[in-house]
Amino acid sequence: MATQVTLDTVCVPSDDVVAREIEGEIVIVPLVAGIGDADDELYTLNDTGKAIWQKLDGERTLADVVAALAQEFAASQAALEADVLGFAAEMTQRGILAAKA
Amino acid sequence: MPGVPPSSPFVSSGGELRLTNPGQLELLRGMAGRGIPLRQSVRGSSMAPFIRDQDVVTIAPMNGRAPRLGDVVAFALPGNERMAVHRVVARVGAGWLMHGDNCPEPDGVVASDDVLGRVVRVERGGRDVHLGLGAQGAWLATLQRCGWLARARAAWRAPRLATARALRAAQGLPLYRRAGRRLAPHSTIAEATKADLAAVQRRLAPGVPSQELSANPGVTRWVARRGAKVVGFVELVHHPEEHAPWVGYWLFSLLVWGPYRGLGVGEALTRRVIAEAVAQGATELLLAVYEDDARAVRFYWKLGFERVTVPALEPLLAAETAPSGRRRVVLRKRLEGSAHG
Repeated sequence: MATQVTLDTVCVPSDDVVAREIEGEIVIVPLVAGIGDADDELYTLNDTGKAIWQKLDGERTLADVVAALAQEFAASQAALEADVLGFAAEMTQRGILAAKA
Repeated sequence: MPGVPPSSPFVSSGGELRLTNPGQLELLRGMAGRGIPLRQSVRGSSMAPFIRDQDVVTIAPMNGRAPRLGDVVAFALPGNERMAVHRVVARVGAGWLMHGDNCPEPDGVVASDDVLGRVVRVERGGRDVHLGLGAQGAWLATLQRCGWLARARAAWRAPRLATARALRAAQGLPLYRRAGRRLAPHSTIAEATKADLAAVQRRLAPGVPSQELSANPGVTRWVARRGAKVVGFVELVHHPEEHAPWVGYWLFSLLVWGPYRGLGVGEALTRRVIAEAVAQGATELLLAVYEDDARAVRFYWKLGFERVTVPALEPLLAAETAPSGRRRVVLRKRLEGSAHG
């Protein structure tokens, strides 16, 4: 299934995962048949992913996320957009994020 | 997930990720708060034989259900932020007395709010295993509370301990060693693969996730195998000058698994190290051994190692004696076959 996210997309955590900040890390546990499976597959976000994830409040579009990050990080707009779109595309492909309807 | 690499610039995933115990507790709290069961591996053998190290347990949230006598529950240990998975053995006031089936002492009384879920499933090697709940759990809880479970455990272990002691004694007998070397199948010595090293680490530190050892041109590692089973391990380490005072060729970490001692495995591993040191041009091979380990000292002496004093190492060896009370000494074998010697 092709994953299409744009700067206008609002991304939210998928219903198929549980995410929690543990010891300074964003830990994401996939749900398999309604059970959180921390044995077979567990994700943690790296620094870039964590910074983006923390801006996803269920209301911001990805463009808003880029703007919020631009206030914190000295990176070009193009680089931030590439990171945010790349992150969102990958996370939706993994089933961790979903586009808000 | 097809087409998605396990890790990327944004995310790490896969089997190498392991939560710490407090991390597991925190995750369990999060899952319990949302009423979602959690499946995760557990460490340790405090609930053996029902739950063993690295077993995967499924912990269902309590969802308002009170713990019952004999339940195996996950909870925050009293007084610290660590998680345990033990059995409910008694009701004490408003709380619950917890005790691991394989623990000498109870954990203490745990408040209902700190009981985060009950174990409903245990998997070992991909298969479900019996957990001992219901009437059996209540019976075990009663036995534990009365102190009879510990006695039963000791009685159960006694024959195995006696066998191990007898085997250890026999392994020191020349007759056993001679017969063993003739009759037991020979082990093969091979350079250690990653899988071998993981097996060695599991043996040395059960329950601790194995870490990949970094490739180092100065270190060669071998294992002894009986069939497909790893039964021994050794390292040859070549320390250059900047590693002073541990300079030169060193034999480290010679290990032979208990049941395979006395059968020539250690000697075969040591001879492999000696041969490799000679091939690398070493003029001597060194090792450190506990002075009071008479069996090891005699073993190396038979293979031509003699005690030497390395002045630069003496302060280090003396310093490490203080905490343990055991003194290591250096043994050396001159390698006459060396091309340089």
